[in-house]
Amino acid sequence: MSEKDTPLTEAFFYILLALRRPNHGYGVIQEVEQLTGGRVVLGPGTLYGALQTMQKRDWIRIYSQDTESRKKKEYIITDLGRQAFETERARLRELLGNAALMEDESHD
Amino acid sequence: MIKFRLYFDKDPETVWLNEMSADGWALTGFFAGFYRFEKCEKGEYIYQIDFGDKLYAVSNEYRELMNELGIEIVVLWGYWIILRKKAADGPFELYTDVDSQIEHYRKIRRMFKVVTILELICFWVEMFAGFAGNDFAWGFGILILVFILATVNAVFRINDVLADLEEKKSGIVSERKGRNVPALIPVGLLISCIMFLVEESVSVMPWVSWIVHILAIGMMAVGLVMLVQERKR
Repeated sequence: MSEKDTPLTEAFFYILLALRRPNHGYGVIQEVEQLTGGRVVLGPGTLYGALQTMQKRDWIRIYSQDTESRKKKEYIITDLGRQAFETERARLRELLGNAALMEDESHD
Repeated sequence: MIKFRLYFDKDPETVWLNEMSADGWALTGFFAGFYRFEKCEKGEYIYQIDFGDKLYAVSNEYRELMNELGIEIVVLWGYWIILRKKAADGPFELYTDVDSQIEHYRKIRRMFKVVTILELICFWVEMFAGFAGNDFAWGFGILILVFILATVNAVFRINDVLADLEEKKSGIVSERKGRNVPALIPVGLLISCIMFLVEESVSVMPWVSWIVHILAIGMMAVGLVMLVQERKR
């Protein structure tokens, strides 16, 4: 979590995904829960920490901050965030591709 | 109802607050070990304790997020944040993956280490004051000693929690060493303390007293270095 090159944690991966369009905290938790069929339910501490870290890294930014109308704070992914996501996606693709080798072995 | 408790560990504290809530007592305030409770429905709230980045304050972002999730900030005390959520609104866990749990406990451990160092400085000041003939300093010195042992103990316990989490994350069973080494600190403190008390009652040869004191301070210094050094993974 401290280094940018290490694989994204599941929480980071799904939060970035949920922020492909503007989304607020509760919305992120709900979407991640839906996408994973209830397997990943983000705790508020985990979500807050991830949002802070990703803002520091410029992976996400605040999209709207309308305090007068009591509108919820929304976040959105940045280009840098998309880049980080794509790096992870390439890594996962490689993993999946290599995982297919397991089938070759078992048929021999 | 007001209850007095001293906790140096947030995990049993959380358990206690939730037991109180299950009995129909909801925490509404805290000041220096005094917990204020008000009547509530049995099991109405789930309590959790978070560790923030600022003293006696949270960021607007934190406040808004908690608000949005139906979580109430009940107490801000130092870096501690006591939160509660209506049990009817579903489960309430702050940190749901190993990575964020590790991060959370590391922050807490860092604070306890800093506090321990500050206590040691206070302790030395009291020791010198006692040495200079201030009798009250002895009492304060021993009181600080108790707090030092409590915070050192907290650091050790968090080390264990972190070792378990690291093990869960990597699957590699970690060696749990180091717990006995920084024991040099309390031992050094005790030697120092006993020596001062002995000097009060019987006359000791000055060179004996100096050797013992230097030995004790040396033990504390070595223990301190070991304590502060982050264990490399």
